[in-house]
Amino acid sequence: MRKFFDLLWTDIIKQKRSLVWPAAFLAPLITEALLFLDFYLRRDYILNRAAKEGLSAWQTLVLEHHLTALWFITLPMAVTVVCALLYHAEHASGGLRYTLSLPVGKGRLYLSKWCTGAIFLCLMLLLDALMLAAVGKIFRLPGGLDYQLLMSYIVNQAVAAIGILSLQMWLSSVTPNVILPLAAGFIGITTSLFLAQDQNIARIIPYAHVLYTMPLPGENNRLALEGGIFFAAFFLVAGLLCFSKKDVTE
Amino acid sequence: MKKMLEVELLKLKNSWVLLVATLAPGFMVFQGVANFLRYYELFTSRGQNVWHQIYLQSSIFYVSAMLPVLITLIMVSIARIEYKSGGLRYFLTLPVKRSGVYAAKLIVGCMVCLFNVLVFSLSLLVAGKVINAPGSIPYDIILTKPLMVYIASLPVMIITFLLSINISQMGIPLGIGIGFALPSLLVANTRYWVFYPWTYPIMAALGGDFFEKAYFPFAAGFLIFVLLAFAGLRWFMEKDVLD
Repeated sequence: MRKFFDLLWTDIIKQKRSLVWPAAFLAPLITEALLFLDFYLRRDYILNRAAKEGLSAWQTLVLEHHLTALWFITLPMAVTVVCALLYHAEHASGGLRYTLSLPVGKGRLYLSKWCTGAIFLCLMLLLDALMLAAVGKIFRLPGGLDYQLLMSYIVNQAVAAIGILSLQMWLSSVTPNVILPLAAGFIGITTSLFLAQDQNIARIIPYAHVLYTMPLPGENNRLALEGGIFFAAFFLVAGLLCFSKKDVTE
Repeated sequence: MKKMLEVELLKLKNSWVLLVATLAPGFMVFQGVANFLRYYELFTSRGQNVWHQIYLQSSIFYVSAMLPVLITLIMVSIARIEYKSGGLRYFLTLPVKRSGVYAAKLIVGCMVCLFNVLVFSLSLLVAGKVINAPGSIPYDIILTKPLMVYIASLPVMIITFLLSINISQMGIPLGIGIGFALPSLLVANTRYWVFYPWTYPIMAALGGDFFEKAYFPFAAGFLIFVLLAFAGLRWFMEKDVLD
């Protein structure tokens, strides 16, 4: 177990000067800037329209953040980029070949990378939630900060995005060509935007699950949670199996 | 120059870029047609042109998300081939014209982007035929419009090309390309779109009611491309071989 934590710590340290940090922090920052502008330009209109539909001010904030500020696209794209960059650093420096030649299990190595990705995902979601709450406070939304709503939102997103993370980690580990996992991710995300509207189709597309993570009345969060858990486990196992058979010279 | 272009094309022969550029538009048209069929009644209830509806549904996310991201990936890939193997440094030490190297890379990048747009047109044509869209094939919609989108995308191409060719760390052009592409659909709905080149393809493709300045994306797009291409060339000519 100690070896695993050593590997995990090493993986995090490796990112000290990498572009994973800006990627993880800029994604929520851009989204919140768009949300801020959205509320700055049409706060009253948004809140009045939402009140007619029976939504509270904080629920409206989540809705605007998710759909209008395009977080449902930005989050999967950011996860795709983070996963690609985590492996790209290894492939570019030949570090993976070196580490694979050391007496550490390939499974542990893959898991430590996966956990590093998950840590960055959690950081990204936490930062996003903090800034989301800040935007709500800045615009003096009526009612106190809805902690339960925000917590459910974070958990739903984390579970849905972990499915994408597993898939992208697997794709990124398979090939040293960084363009391939990025392209697969971007095509998957953009293609699923319309297809995700049909819940039966959305169920089988991991990239579509983030769309169903808003904890609002009428939203099918179960789809995101069940799909996220299933694909996270499925692609984690697939990735572990592929990585354990990886040749050190590849 | 011809030899340079052949060399650049040869480098791409076994890369995934061509496959990605071929498959991606097909997926976009597939999801657009799926959405069209899903809401068939809504999209045809007022006697709308089926070809135009297929085009609209397929274009929305193609021009706003997929195309700028693909352009970024294509340009990054073309530059990455050199940085990965140290080929650019080797190239610059040879008695070849730097302007030739620069132009060949830019032309090949733009050609792959054009190929991508043409595949999009072809996918629209196939999709229309598959669902038996009535009437004759409207080439002004399925061919001319995408080509206009291509011209409006020229600034995105040159910006991402210059970033990719000048910065060895591929994450930076990638991040900028994707980061600027994401909010483009929102910016396109404001009057500030003229300052944001990533909105030009959207304005060229979707036009409609908010297409206020019909000529602007093409004129500005072409102008930005030419200016930045020459500025980039000048910088590339002075580039130190060790950079």
